[in-house]
Amino acid sequence: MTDTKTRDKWDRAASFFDVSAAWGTEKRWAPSKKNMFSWMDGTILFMAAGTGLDFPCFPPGQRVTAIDISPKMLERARVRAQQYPGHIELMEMDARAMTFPDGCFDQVYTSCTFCSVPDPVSGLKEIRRVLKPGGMLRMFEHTGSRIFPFNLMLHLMTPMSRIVGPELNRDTLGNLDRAGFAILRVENHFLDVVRSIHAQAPTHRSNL
Amino acid sequence: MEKRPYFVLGDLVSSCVTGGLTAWVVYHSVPSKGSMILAMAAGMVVGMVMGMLLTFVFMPFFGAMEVMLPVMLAGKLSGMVVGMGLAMHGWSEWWSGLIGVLCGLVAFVWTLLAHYRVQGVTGHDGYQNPG
Repeated sequence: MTDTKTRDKWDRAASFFDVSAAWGTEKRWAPSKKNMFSWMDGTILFMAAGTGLDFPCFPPGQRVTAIDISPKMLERARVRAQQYPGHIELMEMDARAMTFPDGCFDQVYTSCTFCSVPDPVSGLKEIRRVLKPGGMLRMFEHTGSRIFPFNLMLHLMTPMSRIVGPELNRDTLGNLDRAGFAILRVENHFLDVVRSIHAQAPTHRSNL
Repeated sequence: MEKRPYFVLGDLVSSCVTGGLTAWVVYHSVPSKGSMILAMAAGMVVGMVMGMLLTFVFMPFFGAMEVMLPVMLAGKLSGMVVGMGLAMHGWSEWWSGLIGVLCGLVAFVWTLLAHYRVQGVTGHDGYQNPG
């Protein structure tokens, strides 16, 4: 069942999303994102496509299934999907209740997704379900920090930021661990806040 | 680590401008006669508000978290220091502004040093990126 509260929040954000995640942010993060997306291979799921700002960072020639909970975001993403030199199929779907069968993707990618998914562990478990055993989850995320005073600032700002969009103090590495992923590699791009995380689903389905 | 001059300069300018502007607002809004602790606290609150507002000004040009964290830090630091300076020493407007800019510089360097401490890759060996 779709979480209508989350869907409505992101529908409202769609009109100003490209301004808030504007030129500076995308330009700054593009090299790190391109580096992470360069791993794309096989059957690929891209979570929370938003308005498709990340599509230009995908390597050409891939077939990607991209989902988002917000139809208004997807409306805007459609133009960028058409410009991609490959194939991107857009689908409206809740990250925590995907309609895909078990084990149908080789790789799942996220980009600033798990700052926003309510109950992130259940979302990550759902990704684990749709990944093939041993499949890779690669995430470009901003997370909470362990460094003072940045950790304190992120905690203080989260109650405000969550009203319009993301939470700023998520323990994404801990959540991955709780969802049963093995964390293979973490690259810090800015402090311990903006990072690429490469994690692997268990090779056996029995403990899902 | 960010090496593109546009962004490095952007980080520096956004922190220093935030520090300077916060100092100016604190100078004109926080009473210089009174408790030093109260002036510091009031300065910090002004700094937090200024940091938040200026984050939205600089973010479209220079990044998201990379702008927000040092700018917020610059605002708070400048607000506290200038609030304290006004209460204890009755700093002038120009001196307050200069100290505010220096607080911005401190926030920039603080963020840079903290970043250097945790930069790089953690994970098992032999994991090569094809890109």
